[in-house]
Amino acid sequence: MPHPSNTSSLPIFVSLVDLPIDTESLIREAIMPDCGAVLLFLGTTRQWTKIDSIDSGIEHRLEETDCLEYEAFEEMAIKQMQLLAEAAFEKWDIRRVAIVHRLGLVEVQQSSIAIVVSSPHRKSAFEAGEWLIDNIKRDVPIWKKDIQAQREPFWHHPVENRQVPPEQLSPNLDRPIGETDQ
Amino acid sequence: MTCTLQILLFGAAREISGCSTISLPLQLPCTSASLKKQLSIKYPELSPLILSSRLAVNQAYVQDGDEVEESDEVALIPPVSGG
Repeated sequence: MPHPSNTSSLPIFVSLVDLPIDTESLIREAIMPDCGAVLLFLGTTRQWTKIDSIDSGIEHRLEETDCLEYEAFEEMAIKQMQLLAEAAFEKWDIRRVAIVHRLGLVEVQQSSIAIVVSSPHRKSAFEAGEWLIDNIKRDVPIWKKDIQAQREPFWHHPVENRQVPPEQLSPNLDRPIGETDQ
Repeated sequence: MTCTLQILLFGAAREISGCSTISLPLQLPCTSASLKKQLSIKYPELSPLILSSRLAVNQAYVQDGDEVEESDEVALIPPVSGG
């Protein structure tokens, strides 16, 4: 496992972990005297996913996930998360960012990612947190395999993540691409 | 100049090919786009996934026209799904 990055002088903590994410300690670190807001975002394993039925066009069916299994290009994932966190500091008045992503099996209701942003005022933390998760989902080399009882396990390789033309993708991080990325 | 690059694979690409690195003989200079084409020819079973994948060289995404070098670490990055 890669270790927490310390390549930046900014108060950024990024990490990949095998065990459940310790959100309590992340929050404890994030609460600071000059901050009036601490935002915690958790991405959790969803049991039921509504799938559009191709046949009818209007009906849906539900797929049941037993658990998700995450894999990463670990060294690059750490670098990309660090770059995104640094870009967030350029864009918003924030004081601390922590991003922790879990690898391996993540059961239903457990967290696969935690993002914590501290800021003097809440708007910056909300905006930076949303921008971070949007860009992590698009650019950080981590993949999930969906493990279900009803079918063979399958990898999620969502092509819709690639709506932005390649020339606009990272490492060009100097504009708020998250605003146009749904 | 001819060289052989080792390409790192992840996710479905790794499972389809059954290994986490594959080798690709290349005539240099070679662009990232050309590398992807030659990878598809040598490993047709990966071809559909290569079409939607990006390449990372030395752990940074590259553009189609960027050239790869013999000492580069090259990774095939299928559409990502972390978070």
